[in-house]
Amino acid sequence: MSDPEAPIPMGPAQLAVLIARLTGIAHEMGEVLRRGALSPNIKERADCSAALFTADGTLLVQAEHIPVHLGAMPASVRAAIDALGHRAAPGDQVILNDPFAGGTHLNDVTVVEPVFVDVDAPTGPRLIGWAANRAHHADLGGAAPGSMPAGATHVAQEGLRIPPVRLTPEVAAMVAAASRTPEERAGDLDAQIGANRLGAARFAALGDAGLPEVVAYGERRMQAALAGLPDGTWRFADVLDSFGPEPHQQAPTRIELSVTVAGDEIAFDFTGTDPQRRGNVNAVEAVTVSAVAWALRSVLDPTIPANGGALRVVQVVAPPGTVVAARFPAAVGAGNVEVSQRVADLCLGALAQACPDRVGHAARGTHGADHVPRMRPEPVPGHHPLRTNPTGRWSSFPPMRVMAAPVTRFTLHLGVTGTAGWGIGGPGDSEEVPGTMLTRSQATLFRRWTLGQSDVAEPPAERYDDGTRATGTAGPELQRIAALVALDGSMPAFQREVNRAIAAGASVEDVIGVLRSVTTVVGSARAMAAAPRIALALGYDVETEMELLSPFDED
Amino acid sequence: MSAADPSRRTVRLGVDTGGTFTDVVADDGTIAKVPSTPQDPGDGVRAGTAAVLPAGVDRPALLAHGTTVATNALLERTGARVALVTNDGFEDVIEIARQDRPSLYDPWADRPAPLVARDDRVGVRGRIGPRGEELEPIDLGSLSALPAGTEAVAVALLHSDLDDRHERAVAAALVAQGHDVTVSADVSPQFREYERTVTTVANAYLRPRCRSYLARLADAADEVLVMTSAGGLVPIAEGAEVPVSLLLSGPAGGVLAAAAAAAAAGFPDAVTFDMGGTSTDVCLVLGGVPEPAGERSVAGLPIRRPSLDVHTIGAGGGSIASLDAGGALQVGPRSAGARPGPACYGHGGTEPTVTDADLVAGHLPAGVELPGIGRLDVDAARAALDRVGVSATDVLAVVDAAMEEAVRAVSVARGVDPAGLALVAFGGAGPLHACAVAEALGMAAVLVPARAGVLSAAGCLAAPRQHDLVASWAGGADLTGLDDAVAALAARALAAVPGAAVETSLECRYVGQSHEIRVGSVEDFADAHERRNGYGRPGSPVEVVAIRATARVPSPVVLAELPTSPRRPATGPAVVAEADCTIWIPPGWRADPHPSGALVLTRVGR
Repeated sequence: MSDPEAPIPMGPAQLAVLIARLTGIAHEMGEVLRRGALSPNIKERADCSAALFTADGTLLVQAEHIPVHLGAMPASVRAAIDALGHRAAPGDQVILNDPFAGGTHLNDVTVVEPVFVDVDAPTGPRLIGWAANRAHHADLGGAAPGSMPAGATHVAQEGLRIPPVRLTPEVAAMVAAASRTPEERAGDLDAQIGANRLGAARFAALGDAGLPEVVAYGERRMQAALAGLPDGTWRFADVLDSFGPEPHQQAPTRIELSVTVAGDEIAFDFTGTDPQRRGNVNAVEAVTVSAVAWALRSVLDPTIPANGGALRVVQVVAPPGTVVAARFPAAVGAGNVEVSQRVADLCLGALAQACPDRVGHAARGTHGADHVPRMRPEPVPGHHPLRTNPTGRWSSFPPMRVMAAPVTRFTLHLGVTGTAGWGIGGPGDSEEVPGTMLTRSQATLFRRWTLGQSDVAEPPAERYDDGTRATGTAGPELQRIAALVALDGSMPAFQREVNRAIAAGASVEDVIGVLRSVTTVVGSARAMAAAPRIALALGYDVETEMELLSPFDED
Repeated sequence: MSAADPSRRTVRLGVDTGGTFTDVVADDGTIAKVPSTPQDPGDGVRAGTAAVLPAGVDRPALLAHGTTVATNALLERTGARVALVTNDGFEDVIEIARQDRPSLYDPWADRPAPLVARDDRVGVRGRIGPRGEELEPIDLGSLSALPAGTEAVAVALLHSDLDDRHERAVAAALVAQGHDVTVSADVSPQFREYERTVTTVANAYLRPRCRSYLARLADAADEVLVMTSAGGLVPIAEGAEVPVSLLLSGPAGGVLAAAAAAAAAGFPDAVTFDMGGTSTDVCLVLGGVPEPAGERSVAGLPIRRPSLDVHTIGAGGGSIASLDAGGALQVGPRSAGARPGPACYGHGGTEPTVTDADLVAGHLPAGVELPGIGRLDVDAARAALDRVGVSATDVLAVVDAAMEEAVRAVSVARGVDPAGLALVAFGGAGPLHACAVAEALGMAAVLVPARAGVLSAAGCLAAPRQHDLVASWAGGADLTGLDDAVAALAARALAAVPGAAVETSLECRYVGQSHEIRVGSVEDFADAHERRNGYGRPGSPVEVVAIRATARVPSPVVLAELPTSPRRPATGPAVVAEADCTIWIPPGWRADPHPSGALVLTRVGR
């Protein structure tokens, strides 16, 4: 290589030691963040990330907390550099959450600190990199507690949008004031600043020798993994069930993907994907990149580092203005939690055609409380309620002590299809809870695809296209289901009537079709309440999430 | 100390059962190493005891025992069939867990199956609320019969840490039916129902087996005590009731002895560094006392019992070195284990390990014999390294960096400057790597304790009798009545160990946080938070989550006063090969024997 910018070769041990030191710093930052934070998401389930970057904003290492931040963190640091990189001074903290300038959804607040050495040198401080961390704040204002109002159609309804600015005490006060829980904001920001200070100090002590080689290393790891894939192009498509709670939003949004492998490079092209919707189920490009990175890593090699070099050979084409690369003024609250899951599933579906032995089935929608481990045909004790895809590691549910209202059930649901889901709830729950009780679930009405299982072998998009066929011989039974929807029927009643309908020859699509057809008559609230019960009765998995004053699980 | 009339002597012993050897240290400094007897580890204990007893003494006055019986039963899943009784509707808490997945990126990674099968979980009606109030009375009539074949029962009800009456009522009914019942309020009276349930279930799971093992040992001495994870000795009857507190029994002994050795050599603040074949344990010691922890993960399960705060990483002498696809040298996480072991063992291992690198680098002398393994084959080690194309120094640099991060995690990351600390090295590989780690972190000294090969047994011998208690504090930031609650808990601890000194502490956090810091008083919290996390939140309210009390009576045995085999000064580079321990002194370092028996390694010119 004659490139003068080429990294100086390091020995294999020097390289490994440098990576271990950098990783140790990111890890320690993450620990400070989790220990100090107040938001349930950060402290209980590590919906946060910590990372170090080169001076030009290339990701060096990232503490493994939540994959949906994988591609998004670099975008944040890029935005911070673009906004005020040349004016950055030692000790500065840059804050941002603007989905259209380095953020994802508003809850994810990133704080970035420049790392300088030679601070007292006559030549002035020298920038060697950036320390950054991102954490899911429980509330940043907006139309509903938690800053992810299901009915949002404009980002302004979701809360405070912070472009990249210096995090002065005044800005911190403004962020706190915009929140329903200002004390919590102040505590979370303290933890974020504390984490950056620690990371920047350790990074400065380590210096910047060899950093380009760390980036080149990531690239080599990804290239080596990609070289094991056959060349070719594979396509996959899937749908998001809906894009909001209103009746007119109960329409699918199609996502298209073609994956092309050429040698040691790979491209993910989402051309053909539906435009962004007037709802909140829109993802900005950074979320899509994160989901791609997660899928690629889990299919190819889980030990590929989170490293900017690794993504250099991965091209993501997400046409602006689509649901996978939403533009202002789209509402984006559910982009992280819904679209990211579906994009990851698409990537798995496409990659499965290239390496069928490494992929099992799609995740269930929201947050992916998965049931059957990907590789297993049968439920295995201890394996069903795993989280999957690019969401984080821990449960949405804090200990019962912290719950603002008594939870009456907290159990696994073993469905008739042989998969197991889980849910909470029970008679009267929604009346008891001083907040709102939400079900938020994608890929419930449309059955999840499972590779290699004959009963659901057809591509999901085609299933949808064919989803309007006429009712069979189970007319009276289906009418009783419609009545239950209107009457807010109980779970046992739905189970009984759905069993009868199926026994009378109705198909799964017929039963779901009832729900669709009556939604405009009974209203979306009744339909929303009935949907999970019908799905459970059909043996699909449903996660019922309690949303109290401070929601627990918002990637 | 020599006994004029052996038959009049009372003998105290520390005995630690390891995978290969059972180690014994007597209070006259005599040591023995006998083969372990996995079928019944008690046979090894008795054989080891016989090996050190003076003629004419038929049994020791006291036997302090570190055991792996509980740990092995959990790791190998050979415990009892447990039925779990919990609130109706919450039978799956133990399986839903925290939805944690073992790896974010590896869909193949498994997590451990719950210790209780789904059909063996039984719900009961009745409910205590989150403030300890009764929401629904307990309905014993709603409790269905336990499954046939149940060997032990765990009872874990919501919020029983605040009001245990429902649990007690259920337990009484089940005990009346002849069941062996563990109640969560007894083993883990703290909030967070998942962790509490798992701890309770693990105790029930381990109890039948541990109880019969310990009962068979009861006549091995006038008094038999067993080491807990918290580094204290309890009567075997107590250990048999709460075997879940024995999961760190052996390692705790080693940490205690290492802490004692450091304190005796003038380093009350230290990090213990136990580098073995597959893993390495480090623990921070402040003021001669190993740092305590309230929870520890064992076999992938959260066990909430008082424990020493031992931080474990999965790298050791058996870790395999390889070049990855990006050209970096990886050491571990794969390990050659005991079989085939490193290439130099000559048992069929062909991949290079850290031990092979130690041997090729000359840190282990060519031709050295390791206990239970035999003579090491340096040619095989070199061939294994060559096959992968890595040098011994490279392998050592990478593994030492991992060790450095581990020591940093328990020191720098907790606001403790390593510059004033000693690194206390033991385990097969500890004394080979300690100087490199200490050098990188600028630590004051490396210490190799006397009797490094039987350190856990020595730690048992010198451990205090101890009783640890914890209680939930429901008042949060309202501290009304806290002093009384602390005093009551302290009195309970004292009652368990008459004559003990009792130390109390509080688990505190800023209101709204989820991570507690253990402090002596609420006033100490702000400083502790600043030290640990690098920032404080002056003026923010502090809440108490739990109260702890530890009663301790020190052992009459002082390790530093026991006779030891003499050690000589040495200047690096040098290898000191002792009977059960090999020490590498790098260039620029020197070793000096300390009167307490430890070897103190320091950088020359400091």
